Amino acid sequence: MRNDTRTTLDPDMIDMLRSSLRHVLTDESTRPLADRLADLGWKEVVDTDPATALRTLFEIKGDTLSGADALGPSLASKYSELTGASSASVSIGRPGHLTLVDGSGAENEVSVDEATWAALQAHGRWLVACELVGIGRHVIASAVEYTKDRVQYGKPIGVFQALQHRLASAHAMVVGAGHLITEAGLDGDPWTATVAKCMAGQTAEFACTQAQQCYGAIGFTFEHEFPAYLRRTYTLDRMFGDWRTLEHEIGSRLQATRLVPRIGSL
Amino acid sequence: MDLRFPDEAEAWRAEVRSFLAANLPADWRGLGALDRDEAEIFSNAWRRTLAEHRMIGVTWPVEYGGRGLTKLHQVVLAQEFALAGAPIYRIADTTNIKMLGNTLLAWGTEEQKARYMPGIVSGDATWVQGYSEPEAGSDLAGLKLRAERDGDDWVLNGQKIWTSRGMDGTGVFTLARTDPNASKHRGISFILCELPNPGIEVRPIRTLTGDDEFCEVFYTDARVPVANTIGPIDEGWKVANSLLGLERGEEAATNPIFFRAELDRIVQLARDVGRADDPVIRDRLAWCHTKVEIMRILGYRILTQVLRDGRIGPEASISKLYWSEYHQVATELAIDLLGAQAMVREGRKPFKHFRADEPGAANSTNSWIDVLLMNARSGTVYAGTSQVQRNIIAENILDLPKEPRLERP
Repeated sequence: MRNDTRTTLDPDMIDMLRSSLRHVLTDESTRPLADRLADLGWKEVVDTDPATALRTLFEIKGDTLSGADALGPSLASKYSELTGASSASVSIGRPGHLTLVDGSGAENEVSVDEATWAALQAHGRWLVACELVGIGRHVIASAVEYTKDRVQYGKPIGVFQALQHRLASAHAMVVGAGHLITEAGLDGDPWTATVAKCMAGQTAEFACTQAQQCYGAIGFTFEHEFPAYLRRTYTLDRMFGDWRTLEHEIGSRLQATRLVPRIGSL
Repeated sequence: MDLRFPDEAEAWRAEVRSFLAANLPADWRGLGALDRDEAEIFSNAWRRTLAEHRMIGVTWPVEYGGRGLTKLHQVVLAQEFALAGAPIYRIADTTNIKMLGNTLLAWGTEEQKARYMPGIVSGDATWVQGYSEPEAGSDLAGLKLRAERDGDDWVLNGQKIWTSRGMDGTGVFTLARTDPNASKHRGISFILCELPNPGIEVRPIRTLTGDDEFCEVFYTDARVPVANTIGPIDEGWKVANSLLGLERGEEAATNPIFFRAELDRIVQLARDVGRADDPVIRDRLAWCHTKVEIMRILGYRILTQVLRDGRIGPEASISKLYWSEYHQVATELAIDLLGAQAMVREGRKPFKHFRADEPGAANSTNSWIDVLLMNARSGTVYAGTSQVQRNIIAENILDLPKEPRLERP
């Protein structure tokens, strides 16, 4: 088991955090997310346990499909931590290039060293992985509810193993990906972040396709929340490398180094 | 399996080819190469040309606008049109011609055929399908829309859903429960409901690609003559099910052509984005290639069976599983090739909401987003889900025991 001295949020705090974040991410306010988070005492939470705080924020963002811009400001914090330079938002461009956005919205492309760029990309991969896991968990939970309610042949369709197995497989993947994003947050290693992003993309896509098969035709309409989750998944999976590309990247590195990096304390 | 076509089929093939050469524009590159407005105009004009030349329903008797040819001729026509990238009719005609036209000819009375066939052939009529209900999807025979007899009329009450192209419909062929006391598959009748009808309202449902493809149809004391019942009263289930053979036979011949053309587009896309040398991409392309080849052979087998026996067995389920699951993998590959910008919409949206985009379509993100999210992803749901197909394979081909908990009267 992990044996370290990092401060962590206790379970009650995490529950409170979850419900506050859910509120912040779904309210109708047009205020910037950073301001709304500040009301929560976000800085203190992040200082106490950055891995849990950020992971929770992005998981709930995926779960609620919130459109709030959390990625840019989070990358900006990371950039500031790495270089001391401050900005409101950062987006990652081609290798070695970042776009910094200041408080007034003015954009400025800058060149950075390889290590800084790679660290930011890894951070971005991890955050997006958390969001993808949140999506995967949400669509499976919704599909489970749907298959309990939807009656065909005189039974809830959830009695059919054909659907149970789909949802069970997807759930198992979501659990696995969930552990990986937790580890990636704790060890901060770019390798773990890449593995987590790869697995999270694959998981969210799998979860969506399994859920959609359970929904049937309604899952192809805007009457239902599902299509928005599906499209968000395809979009997020493409950020910082889709899962198949990452799979290739991981495989190539394993072959080149002939080393299998350890993930977490397992 | 004999892959050769008989001589008379080859003679007909030559005739179809010369028809296409004479009537398609000289620079024809497929419907997908036209923008949506041009494609709409072309489709309507082309539909009229086909009707004038008796290229619609060639298996239908001459007195109903056809040519009295065999199913094999129809298959050859469909093949040649597919190879030329020419539509065999408008998209809305799938239910109009393939489904209702053939049903009417098989089950309709002389009066019914005389009244309805001319519009179906000319394209003045567009019949859409009223089968699924909110509570009757995979379990279609669980449908509840009620038709009660009142003198010479049926009075219909209830709701249909997922009626494709319902907004374009000049009529809905409706499966209605006419005997609520009979067992589930009995007591259903096949009724033609012409539109407009003061008791029938069609409302669009917006699909995830933003189109008004599906519709809901609401029936409120809608009166329709009992004379509009196709086939015997209370035997509509049999009427509705009699069609599958023809539809699947033609598909078996044309699907491999469309999927081959689509795969060619994906190979081109791989070259365009500079990933043709990428071993992972090549691997995935090769996988797709083998599947399309298998589909082609499978198609010939099914075709042979349909032409020989006049109907198709549970093998149709293998074919359906094959192409629908293949198509999801192939379209995901295309989206991966488009890269990080794949979900940013650009270019022409497809008309067709099933199978591949129209022949000649450019490799735009709009083409592939719609084909992935709608056409391909829905393939494992419509016309019998993959789960239903696997049940059929398990029970009717492998002869495994039926699922115990299903109540199937």
